[in-house]
Amino acid sequence: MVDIHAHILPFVDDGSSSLEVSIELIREAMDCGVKNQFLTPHFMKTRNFLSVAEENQKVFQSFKETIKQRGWDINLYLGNEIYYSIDVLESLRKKHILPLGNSNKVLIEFSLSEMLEDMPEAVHNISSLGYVPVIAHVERYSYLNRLDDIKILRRMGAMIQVNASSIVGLSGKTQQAKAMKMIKLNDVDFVASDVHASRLNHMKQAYALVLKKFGRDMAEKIFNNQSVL
Amino acid sequence: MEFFEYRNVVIETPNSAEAEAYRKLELNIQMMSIDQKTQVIQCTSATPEDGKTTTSINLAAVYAEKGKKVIILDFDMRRPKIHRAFHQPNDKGFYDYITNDVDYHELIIHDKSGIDLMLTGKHMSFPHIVLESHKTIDMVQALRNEYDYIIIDSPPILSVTDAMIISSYVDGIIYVVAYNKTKKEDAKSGLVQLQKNNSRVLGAVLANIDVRKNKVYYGYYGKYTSENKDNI
Repeated sequence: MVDIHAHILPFVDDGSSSLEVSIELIREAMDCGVKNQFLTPHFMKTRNFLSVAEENQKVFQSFKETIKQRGWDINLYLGNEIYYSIDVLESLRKKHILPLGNSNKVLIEFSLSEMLEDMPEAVHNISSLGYVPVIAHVERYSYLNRLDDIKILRRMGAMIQVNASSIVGLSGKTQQAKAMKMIKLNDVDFVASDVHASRLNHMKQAYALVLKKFGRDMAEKIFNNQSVL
Repeated sequence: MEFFEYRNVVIETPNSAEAEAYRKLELNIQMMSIDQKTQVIQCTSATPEDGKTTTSINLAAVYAEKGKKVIILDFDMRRPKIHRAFHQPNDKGFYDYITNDVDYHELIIHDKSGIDLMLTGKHMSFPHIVLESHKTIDMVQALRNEYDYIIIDSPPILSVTDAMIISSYVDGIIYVVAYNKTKKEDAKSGLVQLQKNNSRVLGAVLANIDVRKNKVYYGYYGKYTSENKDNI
């Protein structure tokens, strides 16, 4: 499994505030079957999560070493979950914020409750810098209900990520139905954990559910999308 | 949400009938300019999505093709589109000149098409105030000394006052009407507003035509004069 969205890196955002907890989160990811784990700290001005690439790299290298010493069979990659505003374009140019691992894909999120930014504009702007925007937890945006809009964003070059917790129904029936419908319409590129210390990892259950409903090909396509490696 | 993309046929399919139609448009403008210089050209329409941006970018491509130095100014600050047409990020532009006093030369994008661009940049709250400011007019005047042609992509006339403000400092206006879309009444009232403003309308472009389906209109560009205004 490939998990492109997780707040496991310690000390850098609201994900984990201790090394022990972060190690435990990695162990849980491995239990779920994750072989490639992206660590994607928030970059979010409004909540003051502004640790830049250079700082994150230091923490990441040290954390990676800790996991390596345990001999665990998991690959770790660094990225960011970027809360979109027009200013992040300059941060991307300056490489203060990171794409996912060595790929050209950038994980972006928006306000969950109200449309503060024009999503197609965001997709255009990031694409025109040479990156592929991956829109995080699409099912969670309350104002993005037309499934045709997801198709438009994809046509513009965006990729779509949904949360495992939404698939298993932990975010309510509406978000679950939306996520399932998107999978059915072949509009999901990645399922990810979006795990924090405060939230359990649901990748295993979500995989089982998708496997049961849509078959192995679909489950592998969206839980084991290698295009980001 | 709506998917849209702009086609620059002059660049993408230079031998097409559509590209040829834009070359005719340029020729018509040239003919209109024998006695009166036409260097700063505004593209506008009565209503949104009538084809202003497509006209702006294709006309600019004709000038670039002829080796002329051309710049497009995106003065549609409410719904900017030029960055989309040229696949450019829109975080730097006119906003920085107006708000942060950045030298406008630093904000001009030299696109690989040979066309220079001044994008809107970040969102501005009061476009009409900005557009009639001395600072804006000074920049347009200064650009006259640096470019052969300046094309201004502007908002539609019937939506906001911006287009009328811009029309006061351009040499001529191209009025775009979309076939099978722009309402006749809207097209007329937009034109009446421009007339009342004593604007120099160079002519009209009938856009949105599928030349394969509408051979009768093949490559048609209507030249607007006070005599034939009722035909629009």
